[in-house]
Amino acid sequence: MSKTPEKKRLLVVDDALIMRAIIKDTARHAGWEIAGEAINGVEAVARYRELKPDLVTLDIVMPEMDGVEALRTIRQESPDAHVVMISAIDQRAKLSECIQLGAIDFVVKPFDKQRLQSLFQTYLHAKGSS
Amino acid sequence: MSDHEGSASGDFPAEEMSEYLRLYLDETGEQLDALVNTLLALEADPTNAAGLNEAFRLIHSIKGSSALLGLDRITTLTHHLESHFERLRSGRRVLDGEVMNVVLRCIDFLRTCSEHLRTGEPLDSAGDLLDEVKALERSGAGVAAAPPVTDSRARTTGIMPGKDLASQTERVANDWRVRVEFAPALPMAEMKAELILTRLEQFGAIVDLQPPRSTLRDIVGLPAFEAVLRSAVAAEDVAAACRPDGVVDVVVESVPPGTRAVAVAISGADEGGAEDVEGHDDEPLPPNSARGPEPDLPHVQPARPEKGRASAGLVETVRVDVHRLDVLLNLTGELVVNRARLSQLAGDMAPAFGKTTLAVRTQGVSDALKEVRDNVDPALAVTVTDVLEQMETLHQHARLWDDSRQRFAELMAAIDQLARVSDSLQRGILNTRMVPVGPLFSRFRRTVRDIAMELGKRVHLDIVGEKTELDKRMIDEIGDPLNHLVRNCIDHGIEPIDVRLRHGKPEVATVRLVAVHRGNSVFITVEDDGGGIDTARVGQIAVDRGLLAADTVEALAERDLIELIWQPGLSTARAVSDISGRGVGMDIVRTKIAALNGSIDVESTRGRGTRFTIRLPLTLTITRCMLFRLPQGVVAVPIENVREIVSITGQAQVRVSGRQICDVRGEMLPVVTADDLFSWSGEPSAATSVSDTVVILTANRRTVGLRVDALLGGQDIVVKPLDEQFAHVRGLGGASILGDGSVCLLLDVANCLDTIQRADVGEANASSESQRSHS
Repeated sequence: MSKTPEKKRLLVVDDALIMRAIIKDTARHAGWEIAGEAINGVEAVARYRELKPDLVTLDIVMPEMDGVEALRTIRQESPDAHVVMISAIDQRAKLSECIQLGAIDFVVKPFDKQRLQSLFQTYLHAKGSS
Repeated sequence: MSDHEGSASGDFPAEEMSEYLRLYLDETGEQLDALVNTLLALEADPTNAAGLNEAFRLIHSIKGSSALLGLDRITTLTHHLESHFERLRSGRRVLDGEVMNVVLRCIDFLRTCSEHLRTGEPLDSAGDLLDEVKALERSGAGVAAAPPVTDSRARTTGIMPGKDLASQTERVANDWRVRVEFAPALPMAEMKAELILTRLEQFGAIVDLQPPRSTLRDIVGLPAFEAVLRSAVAAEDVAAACRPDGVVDVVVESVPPGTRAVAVAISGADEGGAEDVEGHDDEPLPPNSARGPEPDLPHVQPARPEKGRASAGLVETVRVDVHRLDVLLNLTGELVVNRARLSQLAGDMAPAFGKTTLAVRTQGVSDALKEVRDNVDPALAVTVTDVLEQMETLHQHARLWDDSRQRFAELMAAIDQLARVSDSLQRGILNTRMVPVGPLFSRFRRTVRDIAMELGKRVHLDIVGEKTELDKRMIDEIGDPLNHLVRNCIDHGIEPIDVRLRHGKPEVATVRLVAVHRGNSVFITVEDDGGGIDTARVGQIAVDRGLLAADTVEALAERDLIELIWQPGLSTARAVSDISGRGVGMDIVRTKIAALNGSIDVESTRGRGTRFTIRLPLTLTITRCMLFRLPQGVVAVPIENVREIVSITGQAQVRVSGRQICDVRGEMLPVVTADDLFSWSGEPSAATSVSDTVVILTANRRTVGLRVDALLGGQDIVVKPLDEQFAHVRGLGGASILGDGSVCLLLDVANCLDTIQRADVGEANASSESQRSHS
């Protein structure tokens, strides 16, 4: 039984505690390490610089700086940043913008637990995110 | 290093892995069965669109779950198979014998893999087989010269492709047809499509898209899309870019310039709608010529009924470990026994709560005593008053007793209710263990096909009663014996084609597998229209092998010669073929079936065919029995083994070589006592039965009468296995607890009859034939 030598690291950005909790639990369960969390866009950008995580889950609607702007900044600073957007079903326009900005994937709120698990598993296996 | 030990464990924690693996194995087993059936149907009708789609779907599904568990070897093999079926269903290759054989061998390999995964052995390499599958791809290559590359998770190499674009620029731009299929009911799948298309556009130009981009964003529940990308990047990179979460399949294949994307059937709520992608249209059309969003391909239609069928048969189920059901069944058995005990206790108490009211009686006595007291002299009256006082106490108790009678009636009602509930519970739990024999039977289609092909015979397998249900445990156990019988039918029973034609029989022989439910039993017959059992040969072999003397064989009736096939060490195959000669003789088949409390008989007519009839109880754990009292205790006999119960008072009885023989309506039957069956501990036959009640026991066409003291009636008993130290006692099949809490032994009648026959054979002067009845 081989073990992944080093766990992949995740930055969780969401203003809602419960959302962060679900995301963290699911990610840990899927074998991720939680590198850190942030509760708004400003913090997200700062934490990304500091932690250089393998993956970011980024909520779109947040106080101070929203997910779209945070994504723009992060991708400008680190063009190979891997960011998965957390989008509600009615945020098509903003999500579309994020896709153009280079978000690698998105997951729809409210979460389907299996969907979320599958997401983390997908990116756990992908090379090139480290 | 096996796949299982390798990458698989990385995905899930060990305990979840084993749970997932179990589910995977169960599901894959079913899918492989279904696949074999689909393929065999396709063999007769190789272009059947529904069949090809179903095969594709099954392979696709196995691939998906194998990839999920990181079973790379299986994934790779199924992936290539899938690409091949993709071509088969698009009509670019025909499912011919060559393809069929390779595919069936792949299925065998997958089954072996499953077995190994179950036992924890490392997986074999698919090496040669994989090459053969790949060779099929090359040999059949028509328009699609480049082998399509399908991405499986195992091969996904990057999240963001295109980093190596520079190294690829020397490649010539190629047209890739990309088909992406989303998970059923994926929320905002249309946005995933947009995400993928945005990425693909970084590689080159999207020259065609179905559904068109203008409508794509408005389709809620998009099941799949297909695009043609003109790009110089490698197929792997294209595939990797199409792999955000929620994508269940990506097919990337090289297509000639001008190829159009194929319309994808869109029906919002219809899960798995992507299966409807059908009829690849290879006719070159000018690129960018617009096509409406509605799928206008006539080929979309054939897939429909097929899907309808699949969903109609879909029942919501929960997979449960059989052992859990065993535990439940056992507990229910205990419940039933305790209920019976309650009934019996209540029954015993019933007379005490009879109709006559006790209080009226005591009142009567008191009144009488009062009259006595008033009419006797005062000295005596004092004594009578004393008695009257005691009567008063008695009277109070009697009234309490009378009140309790009502309670007792309620108790009886409650016990009745309990009986109903526990019986329903037991039936219910038994029912949960019942599965149809269909899948088991269907598995033989493959067996029949393979053996017939190998032997150069043509055989049609006719299956009847596939919905008949049997205990799951029984289904698991009966597979091997049935397999042996079916192989036997084709190998030994059915004549070579030239012989059949000479005898005026149809060239295609028929093997019939029939299951019917009758009473508490299921009957399975395996029947062929072959040459029947060659009794002369059977006799000859018995002599050759030293099983019987030549003159004994000569004296045997046809019927008894046929019965010889059940003897160990007797095989009528002229050469040991690797088909039936797998170390399992008919004796093993019979033993195995007897172990299931069943029986097997054979009928055969020379030149007409042979029929094996297997009788199985519906379940292993509950048996309908007759209960008898022997001097040593109560014994139970499965009802199937009881032919009749007779009184032999005044019947002609003779003794032949130490064995009592009795005339039952003209039939001479040996009659034995319990002492003939078992040597009981301590003093033997201290209380030998003198009763004239005889139970006629029958098993495997042999019959014997057993003297019993008394008949106790029929009862469903929950058979419990005997403790280890009793397990070797011949003639005992188990034990059960009766309503009164006492233990009752279950007779294994077939074994008892063997014991008696052996004893008879031991007595050299007696010929065993005369004691066998020919019913």
